[in-house]
Amino acid sequence: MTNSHPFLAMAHKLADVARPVLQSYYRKPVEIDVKGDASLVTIADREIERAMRDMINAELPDHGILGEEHGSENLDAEYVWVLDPIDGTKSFITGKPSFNTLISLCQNGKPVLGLIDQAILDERWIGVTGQPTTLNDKPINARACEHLKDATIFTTGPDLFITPKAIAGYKAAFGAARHPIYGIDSYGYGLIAMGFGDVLVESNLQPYDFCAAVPVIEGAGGVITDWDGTALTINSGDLVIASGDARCHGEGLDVLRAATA
Amino acid sequence: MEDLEPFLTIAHKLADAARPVVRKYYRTPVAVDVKADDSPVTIADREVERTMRDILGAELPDHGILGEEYGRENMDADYVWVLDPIDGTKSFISGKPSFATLIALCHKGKPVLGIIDQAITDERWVGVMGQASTMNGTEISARDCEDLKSATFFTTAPELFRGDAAKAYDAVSTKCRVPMYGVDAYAYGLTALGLADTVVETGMQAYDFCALVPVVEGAGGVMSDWSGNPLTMASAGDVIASGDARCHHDVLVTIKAALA
Repeated sequence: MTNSHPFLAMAHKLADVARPVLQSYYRKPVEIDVKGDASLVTIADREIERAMRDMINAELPDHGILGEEHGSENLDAEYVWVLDPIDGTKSFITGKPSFNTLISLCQNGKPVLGLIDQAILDERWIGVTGQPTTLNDKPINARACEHLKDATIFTTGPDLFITPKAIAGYKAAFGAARHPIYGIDSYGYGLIAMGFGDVLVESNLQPYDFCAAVPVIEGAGGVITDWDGTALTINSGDLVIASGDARCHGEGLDVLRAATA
Repeated sequence: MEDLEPFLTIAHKLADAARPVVRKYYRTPVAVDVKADDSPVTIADREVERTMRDILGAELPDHGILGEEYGRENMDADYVWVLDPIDGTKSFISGKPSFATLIALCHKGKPVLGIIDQAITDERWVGVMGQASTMNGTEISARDCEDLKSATFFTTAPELFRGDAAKAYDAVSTKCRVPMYGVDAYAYGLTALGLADTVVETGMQAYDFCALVPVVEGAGGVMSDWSGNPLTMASAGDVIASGDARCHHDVLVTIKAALA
């Protein structure tokens, strides 16, 4: 069983462009003191995003684009593609296959199509609003987890919570959950959608870091919002919580609100 | 010490036998409230260790075995195999392929042969004392990294550092250039590949670290406890691994100052 959406074929094409580039740059030796613009990951990031933009501009010139590397174009369009060629750049650089290519399509600001692609492990999650999420074309489901105290909770790193509010929320959520798991990047959304984790908490995110996760999580029966419980759009802030079970999500929100009030 | 090559063949045989079992249980659905004894990771852990012990019992009956699940046999032997069927059980149960099967051979307590095997990504690191480490048969080497402030530092989770150990973690994670988390034994493999610079962990058991020593050292790196002593089967579980001896020294100094 596969998903359907008028622009799903384009999303696949964009992800297919990214894969060979990522595979060719993966685990290539990196000089430790190379910084910023000259780094391998920046080169790969830009090369992929440029190729993606060219395809969108050629085939869907009315659509807008928001990307990590090359900024935004035509954001007033009904449809806007939100692109992160390499989400989890530090993992990419260290040869850890939890980075992903994130591709989403927002309609009037709301993510309606999301694709999470792991080029090394050959895993592609697809979410389309109103349809079951798939991993490599097989439907997947989040699992039941009623309470936060029973939850496996994911985040990338404690150091990524920087503001006092973010730090307080992280500590409270991780203190209340059962198993903390770190280093997850956007792979965590895929694992929650498959029923192998329960909650993910992150801060300091940009729309291109989370838009793709929205249809993936929701189509697997999960919930994803900002820390106030508001649905995520292309204009949302940087604080995200995703859960496989709405009841656990409610408890997570209560804990975050209490800690950050 | 005898020639290690025949033992390396056995070590590969153990890892080969572990793989299909690990794969069989990987990403099988697991309910949140499942009891530890019934969880797929516990079942897989036991089945893998049983399989490896049966091979060792048949092929090398004089050797001792120390395993995570079934304890100790014949620990007075010169050669003792140290086995962790699934290191990184939480990663395994979360469907995250950073867990590994760890196989070590110790000679009079000192790790002389180590395998780190990742069954899902099909990656096998091999270290033999006095030889260059390999990953899937290709020689690998750690990279230069002069000091901690230039280093990519890995650990599994901050929660694992309790009491005074938390001071050491705070000092290292603050001073390093890039802190990275959550990859279990895989971090040592990445250090041996020259993609990371230092790993600091605490509360490890012999079966968690013995296999890592020959892999890291055979790639040109250094491993020790937090006081700088070489690791043996009897070491306490505070471990540092670094790709460059200069960075390793800097980590040791940093931890010593934090604990003073």
